[in-house]
Amino acid sequence: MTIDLSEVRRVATALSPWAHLATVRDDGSPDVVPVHPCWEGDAIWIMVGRDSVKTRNVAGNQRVALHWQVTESGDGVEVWGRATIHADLETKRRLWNGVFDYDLNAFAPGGPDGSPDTVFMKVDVTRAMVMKAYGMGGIERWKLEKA
Amino acid sequence: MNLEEIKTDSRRYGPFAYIATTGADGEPHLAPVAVNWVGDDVVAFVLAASRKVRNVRANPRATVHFAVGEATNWDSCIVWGDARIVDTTPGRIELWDQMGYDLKAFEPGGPESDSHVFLVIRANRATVLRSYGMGGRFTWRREN
Repeated sequence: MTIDLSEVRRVATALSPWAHLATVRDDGSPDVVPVHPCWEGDAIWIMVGRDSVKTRNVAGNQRVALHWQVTESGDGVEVWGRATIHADLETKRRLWNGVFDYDLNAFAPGGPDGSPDTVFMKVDVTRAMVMKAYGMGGIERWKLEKA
Repeated sequence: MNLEEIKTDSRRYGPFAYIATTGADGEPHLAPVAVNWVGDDVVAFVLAASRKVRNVRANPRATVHFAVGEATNWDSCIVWGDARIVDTTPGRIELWDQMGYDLKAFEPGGPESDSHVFLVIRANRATVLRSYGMGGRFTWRREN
């Protein structure tokens, strides 16, 4: 079954504010960390440390996967995409207020202008999967159509 | 922390974890699975045809991130390791009763069935983050 990306976003947002982000090291090893992603249209933004492992990993391999934490009944969402790091002040100021559903100042008190070690990861989603009961209740998929 | 302390900590998060693997094309994949420690290995019972199994056959590295939540104060336990697939009947028989739940509910054919396998991750290093790392960071690494 297919699904559109807005429905993927709706289901993911309803599942949990938390997701597990997988990135890949230069040697092919996967890394996983918990993140609090936020959607802006079809893109996903994640507040990250400039020198964090995930930031270093996407510099070498843009491919990432996000898996929202599943419910007790095993409903879940996984998305795959290409990640880029954004450290420019214009983007930071724009994201700081109105895009995230939590207060970024709690993690970077200097705000967008005074937190040079805080940057943002943008994930452009290329495909997604919504599953019910670990897939036993059905799987719906979405894939970016090539232009 | 030593490995026994990592194991003890990991059990706080319940039996579910997210296993990350990397495909032959370099794309990561995450799968929620029930896991258990068997010795120094994190073990999961999975479908033989699943993507995580294909990935491990192509790239025998995996990372396990135990579920996070308010009940455990948003702590994280992450384990990196070398992964292998146990897909023989003798191998499945050896692990069959060590997962902490009844595998027959998922594989009525028992350990003789080839449709399920065990994904076994030998822990090489681990990190425990308290409150996303703001409350402390504890690591363990296997000595060569």
